[in-house]
Amino acid sequence: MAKGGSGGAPGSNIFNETFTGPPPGNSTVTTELWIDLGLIPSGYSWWFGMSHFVAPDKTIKFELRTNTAGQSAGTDAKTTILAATSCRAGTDKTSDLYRNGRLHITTVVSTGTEHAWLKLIAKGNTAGSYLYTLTYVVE
Amino acid sequence: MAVIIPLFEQILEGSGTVQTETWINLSGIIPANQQLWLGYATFISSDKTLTFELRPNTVGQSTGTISTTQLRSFAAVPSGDSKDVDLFFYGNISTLAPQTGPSTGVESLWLRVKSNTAVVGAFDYIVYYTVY
Repeated sequence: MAKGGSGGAPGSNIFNETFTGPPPGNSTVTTELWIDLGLIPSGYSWWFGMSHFVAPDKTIKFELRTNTAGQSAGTDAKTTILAATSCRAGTDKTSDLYRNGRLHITTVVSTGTEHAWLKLIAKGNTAGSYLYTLTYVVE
Repeated sequence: MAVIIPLFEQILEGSGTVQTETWINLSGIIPANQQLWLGYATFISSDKTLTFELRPNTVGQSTGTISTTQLRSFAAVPSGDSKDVDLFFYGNISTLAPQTGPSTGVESLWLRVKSNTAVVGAFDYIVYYTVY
């Protein structure tokens, strides 16, 4: 497991990787959108430290999900929820997923198949834009 | 004195709907001689303002009512919003289920969700905890 850094100095932080979005071609959500954060390298898991979500146009619920062991599809049945946030239209929200080491929000240890996912849920027929930043570390 | 440093590695999560009040048994029966130590929670209200109450049974009780449970945490969440709740505060508070002692094999952790209107509203919850 990755060890904690000294804090403050660049490069010494625990969560040294970042997912940011939206990804190309998927910049809005109507009612539901699954974003594939990627294939988790075999033998490793992704440990999440912080999430930041923005919903400029409409209320959006964001769910951070991991495939269950052996699964690869982005569906409710093939994933489990790790964390969730809802942003009202025109707001943003940051969540501490680490809590000074009291939480260990992590994907499954990958067998070479599993992905991490971001599921967006909204209401109404209008398309709404969104932004996200997720910090993590490979362990 | 040894200091216990918990890691809230387990998750209770789910969703539901409510008109004016509903009780959800989050944990099922807590195994005898154990307590759930609650660390953090997230509550989401999709459609209307809701209040969320975390209520463990008092020792010896098993039903989801005000008189048989103890209020340990409370959050009010507006429509479309979510709230992260700290139930640990760096170890300065302990939010346990049951609060006053180990389970006798009948107690559960309950979530009471309330609203002022009869319109149906959806909600989600996540509670991070460990077994103590």
